[in-house]
Amino acid sequence: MSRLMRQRVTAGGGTVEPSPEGFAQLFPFYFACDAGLVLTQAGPSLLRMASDVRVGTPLPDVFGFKRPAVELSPERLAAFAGSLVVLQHRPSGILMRGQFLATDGVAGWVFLGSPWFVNGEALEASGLDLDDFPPHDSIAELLLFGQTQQMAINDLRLMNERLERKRRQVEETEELYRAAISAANAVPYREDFTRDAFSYVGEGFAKLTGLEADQIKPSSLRALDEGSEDADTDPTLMQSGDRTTRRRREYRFVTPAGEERWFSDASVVVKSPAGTPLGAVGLLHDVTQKHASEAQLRQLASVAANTTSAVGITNARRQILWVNDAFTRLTGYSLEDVRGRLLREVVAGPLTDLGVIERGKEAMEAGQTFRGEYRLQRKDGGIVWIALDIQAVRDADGTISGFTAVGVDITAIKTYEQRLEQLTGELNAVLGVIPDGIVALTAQGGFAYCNAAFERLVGRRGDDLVQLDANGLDELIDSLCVPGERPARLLELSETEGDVLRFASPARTIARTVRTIKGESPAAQWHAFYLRDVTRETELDRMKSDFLTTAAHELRTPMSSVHGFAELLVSREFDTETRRTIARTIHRQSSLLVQMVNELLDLARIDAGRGRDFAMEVQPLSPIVNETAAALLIPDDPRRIDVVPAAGDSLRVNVDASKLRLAITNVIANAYKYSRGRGAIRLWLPTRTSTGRAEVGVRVQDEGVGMTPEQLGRIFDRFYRANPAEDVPGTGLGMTLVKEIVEAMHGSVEVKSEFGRGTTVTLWLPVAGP
Amino acid sequence: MYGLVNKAIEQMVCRDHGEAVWHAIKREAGVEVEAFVSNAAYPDDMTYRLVGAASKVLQTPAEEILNGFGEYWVLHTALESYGPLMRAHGKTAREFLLKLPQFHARVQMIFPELRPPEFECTDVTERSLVLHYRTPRPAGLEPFVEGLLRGIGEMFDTPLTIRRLEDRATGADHSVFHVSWAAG
Repeated sequence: MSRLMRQRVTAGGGTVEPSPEGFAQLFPFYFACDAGLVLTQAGPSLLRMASDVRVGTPLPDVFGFKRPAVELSPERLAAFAGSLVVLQHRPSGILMRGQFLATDGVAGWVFLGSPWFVNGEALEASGLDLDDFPPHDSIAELLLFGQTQQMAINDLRLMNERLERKRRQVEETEELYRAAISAANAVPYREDFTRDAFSYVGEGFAKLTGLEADQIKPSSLRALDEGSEDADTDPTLMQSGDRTTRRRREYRFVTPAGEERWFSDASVVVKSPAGTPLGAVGLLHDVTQKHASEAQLRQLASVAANTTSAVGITNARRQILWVNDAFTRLTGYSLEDVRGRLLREVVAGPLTDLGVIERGKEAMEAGQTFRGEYRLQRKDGGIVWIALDIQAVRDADGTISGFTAVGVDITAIKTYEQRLEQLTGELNAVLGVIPDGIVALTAQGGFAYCNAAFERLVGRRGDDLVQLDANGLDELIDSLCVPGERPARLLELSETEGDVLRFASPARTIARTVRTIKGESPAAQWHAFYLRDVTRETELDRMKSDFLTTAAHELRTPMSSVHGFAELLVSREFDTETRRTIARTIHRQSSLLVQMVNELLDLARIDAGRGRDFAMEVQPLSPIVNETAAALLIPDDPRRIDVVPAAGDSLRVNVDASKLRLAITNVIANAYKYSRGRGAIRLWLPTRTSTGRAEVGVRVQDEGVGMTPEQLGRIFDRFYRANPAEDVPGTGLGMTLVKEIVEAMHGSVEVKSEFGRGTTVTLWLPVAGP
Repeated sequence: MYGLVNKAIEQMVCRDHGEAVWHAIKREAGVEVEAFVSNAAYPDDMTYRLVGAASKVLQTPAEEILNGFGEYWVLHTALESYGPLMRAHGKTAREFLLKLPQFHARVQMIFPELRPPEFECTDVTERSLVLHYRTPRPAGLEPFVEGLLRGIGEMFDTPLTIRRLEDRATGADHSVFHVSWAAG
């Protein structure tokens, strides 16, 4: 055992000398070196900690001084022997805390110490554990202490974080309260009961009351309180053992300026631990506007409840909140029946027009006013019509808070309307089919109505006419009249006389009359104008008049002759030859009269019967024509009719044979009369197709005097004679009669003539068969 | 009781049930401490009230809560707070258990106000030992100790079988646990 291992420790009066193993156990990190600082011994834990610590290794190669900060040399070491020094293991950086002691006998040094760690991680990194340290070493306590300190720091950090979080929460809450108080237009306050004084008031107190807090006592502020207090006990505060009373009241206050205000005062009474009320904290809120609104609302509610109209109030989701008694009377549904139901469900049953329901829904969604007529089924099954006015109710900020619906019973009106609509429909139907034009104007001259006949008459559509007033219609009528004519103005037209308009193109004659339809007042009168197309009647009147004049004239000529010669025979004596001559004249003129009267009668019959009295029969045409031609003998004219074979000889026609003979006779007679012994008279039956119809003609051609185009144009006029010469007898009714007969048998007459060259007349008839 | 214990209860409840439940437990226990200081001493009664309130709020027997808390204490609180130091106390569950008395002696040095329990190991074999548990506190914390032991076993990946040999609740002067483990 070296001398080093025989270090002695004096304890009490004795000496304790540990064994080498005991020494190593007490100082497991010790090492020894000689005077030249070469390592000679090392403890087991040091050897485990630093593999480079070996006997024979120069100490400065492995360790250096950390404290003192000097180079490790024999001289420096000797200078600090016995003092606390800190070595640093060069490769690992681990610090060793301890002291150098000089060894007994052999010159050298022994280091007693151990590694120094300030946290568990460093210990763990060194590869050492607590078993490497002797139990008396306080490294474990040091580490524990350090860790505890770290925990304390962590606690502080955590605590700080929580405090910070709380502070933010408090700030947010405070901000929230401030905003809420500000939004509520409220002023916070604290009052002291013992002094009847405000110990704190928030911003806006002076504006609210007109006074500073020290100018008014809480009791004075509430002097006009009419006992509206509503006190209760806060259950949440009761849980923690405190009894705190909440108070809420509304009262009137008159500011020094004489302005009346209403305050809402909500407070919490603060009590001593013994339960004595000390004061209160609360919020003062100006509810003057609300009070006024509520008063107004009460009035409106009274009106709504007592009106005879049905009234319903809904929320913004259109669910019914309230209905009045009139609503119940009208619909049969009580408030209990309809509360919470959608207004639409109640008033717009399956009987209501879907368009009305949809428009009502859209208007309500858009917050617009809507008026609609709803056909509603009452609770008892009856049907009522209601005119419903729906209006949105808005908050001060414009948000829709609900709707009001006011309904009026229009069942009777709707019944009348339906009846009126039916009557109007019937009237329109009647007016639409009558041929005469009707236009109605209001008393003020506005357009009210016209029928289809009027539209046709003036050539304008109803859509255009509704734009016109009386003046516009007058101008329209003026434009239609014959130029230069200016009929009476509509509103000046005499109800008793009316007038006649002459339209230019097409030429028409319009009889116009007016009737005034009385209204409840002169302003409610209507004027109905009746326009009748009398063109045909006028023309017929004219023709009748012309005919009578002509007929009288034509009858008078032979009659005068008969009368004159008869008078001569009566008044004078003539020889036989002269009397015979006069008698022949009388006979010829009277024959003409008879023929004229017969033809007039034939025409009258045809006009009256329009062919209905014809004895129509399908028969061959050729025999009728040949017989007629053969039977016709013209006095003093030797010519015979030259009947030419033609395509139509074999065809059949549907005709009244006797009437057709009369027509053919007239045509052939004219051919004889107007060709006076010259030229041939030919007759044949041509064929043609006209507008898809097969026709056969009876054509008579002469080579006589012919006609000018003007004469040809009037050939069918009654009593018109192209050649009225005395020597050519005739009534002027022949061709008229021919035309009437042929047309009655669905045929037509074609006349071609050239003055001085002759005339060709063809009677075209529909072919009835081969 | 050491604040770290109460803090550990808080952390366990918050982890498993959320902060709202923890606040409910605190209300139930009448504990108004906002945050526990780990190294400060708190009345034992506060810890007992917290455990009682947790039992009531979570509707779980107090023993079960203490058991779970013991395990949580080792695996989270102690390891997070003294991880390296605990690992420096042994490399196996057996080593660690044998040094448990020494560890508590050191804790006592650092926290003079603390009244840590006293452990003693006897009948030590390679696969078992007998652990004596002494504490000046009232009986009832034995489930907590069992939880601690289970946590130590888990820390070293060594499932421990724990059997209570003696119990203060049944009149013994201290509680005794037989702790065994599989060879390995």
